Amino acid sequence: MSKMILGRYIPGDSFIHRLDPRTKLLATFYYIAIVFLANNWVSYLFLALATLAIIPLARVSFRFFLRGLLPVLFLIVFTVLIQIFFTTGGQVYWHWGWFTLSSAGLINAAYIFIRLVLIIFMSTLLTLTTPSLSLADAVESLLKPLAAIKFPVTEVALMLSIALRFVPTLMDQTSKTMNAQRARGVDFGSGGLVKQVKSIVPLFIPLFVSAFAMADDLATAMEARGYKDGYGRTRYRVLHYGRGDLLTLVVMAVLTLGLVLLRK
Amino acid sequence: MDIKFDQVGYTYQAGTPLAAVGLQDVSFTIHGGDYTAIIGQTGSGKSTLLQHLNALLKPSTGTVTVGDRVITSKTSNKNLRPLRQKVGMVFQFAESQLFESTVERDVAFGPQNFGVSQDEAFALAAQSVERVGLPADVLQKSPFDLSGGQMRRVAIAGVLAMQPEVLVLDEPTAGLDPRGRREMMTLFARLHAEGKTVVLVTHQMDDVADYADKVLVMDEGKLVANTTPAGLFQNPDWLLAHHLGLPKTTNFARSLQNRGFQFDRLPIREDELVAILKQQLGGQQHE
Amino acid sequence: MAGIIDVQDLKFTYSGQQRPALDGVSLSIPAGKWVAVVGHNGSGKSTLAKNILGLLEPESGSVEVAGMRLTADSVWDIRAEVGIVFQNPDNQFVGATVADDVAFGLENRAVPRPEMLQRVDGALAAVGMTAFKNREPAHLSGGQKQRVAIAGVVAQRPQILILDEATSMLDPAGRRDVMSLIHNLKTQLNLTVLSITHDLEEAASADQIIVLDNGKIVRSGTPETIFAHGSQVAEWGLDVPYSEDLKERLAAAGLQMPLTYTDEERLADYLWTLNSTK
Repeated sequence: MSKMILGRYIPGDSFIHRLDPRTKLLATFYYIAIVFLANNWVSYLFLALATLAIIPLARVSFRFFLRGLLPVLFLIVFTVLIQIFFTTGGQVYWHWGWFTLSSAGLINAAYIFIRLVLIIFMSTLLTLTTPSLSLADAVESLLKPLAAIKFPVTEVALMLSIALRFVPTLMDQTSKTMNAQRARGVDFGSGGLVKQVKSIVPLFIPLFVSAFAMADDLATAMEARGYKDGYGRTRYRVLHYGRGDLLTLVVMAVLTLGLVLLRK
Repeated sequence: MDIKFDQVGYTYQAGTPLAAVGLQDVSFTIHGGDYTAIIGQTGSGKSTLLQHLNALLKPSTGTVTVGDRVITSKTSNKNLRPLRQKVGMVFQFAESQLFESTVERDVAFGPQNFGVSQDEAFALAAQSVERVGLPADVLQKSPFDLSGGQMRRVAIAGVLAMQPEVLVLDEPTAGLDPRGRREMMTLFARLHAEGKTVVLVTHQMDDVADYADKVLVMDEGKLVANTTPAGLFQNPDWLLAHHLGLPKTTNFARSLQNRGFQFDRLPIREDELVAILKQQLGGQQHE
Repeated sequence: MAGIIDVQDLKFTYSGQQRPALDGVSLSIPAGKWVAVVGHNGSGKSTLAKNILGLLEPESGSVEVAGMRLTADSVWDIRAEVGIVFQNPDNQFVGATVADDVAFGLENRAVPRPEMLQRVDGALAAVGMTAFKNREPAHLSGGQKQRVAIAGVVAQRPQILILDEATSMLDPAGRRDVMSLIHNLKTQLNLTVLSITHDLEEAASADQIIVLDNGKIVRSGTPETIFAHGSQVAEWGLDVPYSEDLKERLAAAGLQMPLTYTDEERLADYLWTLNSTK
């Protein structure tokens, strides 16, 4: 749980923190797309330098970014190894059965490595500087056109925000229940498959029971506070594009232009 | 069975940028048969300390010794069952741990995990349910059909059925009505009288005064006092500085003191105060 | 019958239950008063609050709040006049942040956004939570969450505040804190308070105590008259006031004790007089 840095918001008031979440969400997706434009050392270097210049703007310790790599480390290593041993072309240094170590393989592996690391850095930047609630707002705002085809955007958005709000509460409940059952002799995560599946029951039933009780209480509280349905409500939280968002647009344009010019 | 903490420190999320100190240099001994209260304001480290008593948490530094079992940061997670059987733990809002289809099966769950046969476990369940003051007919009921107070008792019965030597109670009366609270505290006093070691975490100073023979005070992850209730409550200003209150009797004795009453020691229990007042005031009525 | 809350012969039975949770309850709460409803768990206290808000539908009898008779049509208008704080601090926190939660009731009532911003800020200031405006509930203590719930009520500007065991899950510090806040707000905002409680101090601060048992009102009166019943109040889901308990024990030990309800201050004075006149 504590290792899931990717997805944990670090409060702050930096330039990046203050950007509109829609900008950050769209820019991150856009960035991931244009990463694939890079196809030589110069373009990768340009992209890496640009990214490393953007990251400090968030004023979050670089350690959080490195930690963001941990959960996907296996994936990165695996992809890199595949590239190293299965790409053919260029000078061949070593060959055994299906495995080939070639100059093209090494270069490709390096490119892929840089590409994955940069993508993860940028996604981490998004999640470190944007509370999940703002992301939900961004999604709601971007989905708003769907209301025209009777998609219940506001209800879905409220559901999403409540779900996000209760994640820490349920996590807390989970660890309490686990402790209570461990104290009664349950070993989570040990023994054979059957035993492990069995140990889930004393964890999940209490969790469901308390989640239902929570939902019941919450529904009562919402109704008592005048909630009827998604219609005719005003919103406290609104999103505004600002100067920084325009700047982001410019940065993305420059990045695209640079990559297009530098690629071969 | 004694429990010994030797310079125990615990850090949450050690090695991450979010590391936070939970315990710092905590040393004390709880002797078998003691009734020890642990007090301190919310967030002082009481719950962290409790979880060290049966190795749900392992110390980052120092050692915890429970009976002949020594727990350090290096202790493996295997073979902790004998320890967890000896130290029964009743968590806050313990009713939320119930999951079985009948009370009998739920109460028997613990003993069965510790290797007791089903027949024996059911026998223990019947005994424990009776001990916590529930009628035998609840055994075949679903725990979820019971009232909140009854569910709490079932959860406690589930811990008693493990036949632990030490009973650890984390605010066991929270959320109960006054009658339920009294009955619950009487139950624990009886279990203590029968020889169980009791460790009670509470915010109720009256319970500390009325039931405990030792008291540990936690503040910001440190053990700031290890004394007796009678000793602790002689020092109201110190308690205030640690955001703690006084038992009602001590509080009342203080207002008597302000009016001019003399006390050699501030009484902490109502029967003490009644005896003192009877001695000081009672005599003259027969003169 | 000029109360701000008037309940007449209210009956309610939960589905699947034989025994009614409320069995012919009638009460009238005058505007501006503080009324405490006490009783054991399961005596029907919370059911009463939910019936007043139309969260549960009475079997028979009538409820009138702020001059409006409770019906399917008036229920939303009635809820606008009643703020409620429930027992569990976590399970009533709807918003993802403090400010969002305070705004929730205003959003539901379609308060225009500029006014909403003002009311949220004002309410947060009133409960002393301005500094926590953008915090998420996971980073708040139970007492702070209850303050936020109260801020939600303040922002809503109702005439009535119902406390449904609002302090029972808090530690002593949180409880004191929330109670003193409610006392201040009651005066400032001229609220009528209906508090459902087991807490002796909370009940003692009321103008009137109503005792429920098995869905029926078994006693009603000022704290003095209720507490004068001494150890009997334990039967009604309250702790016996310390001064009364001590008095009974001293009387049993052969000391002459006053017969009327005596709070701690008066008992200390009395004992001191006894001491000085010996």
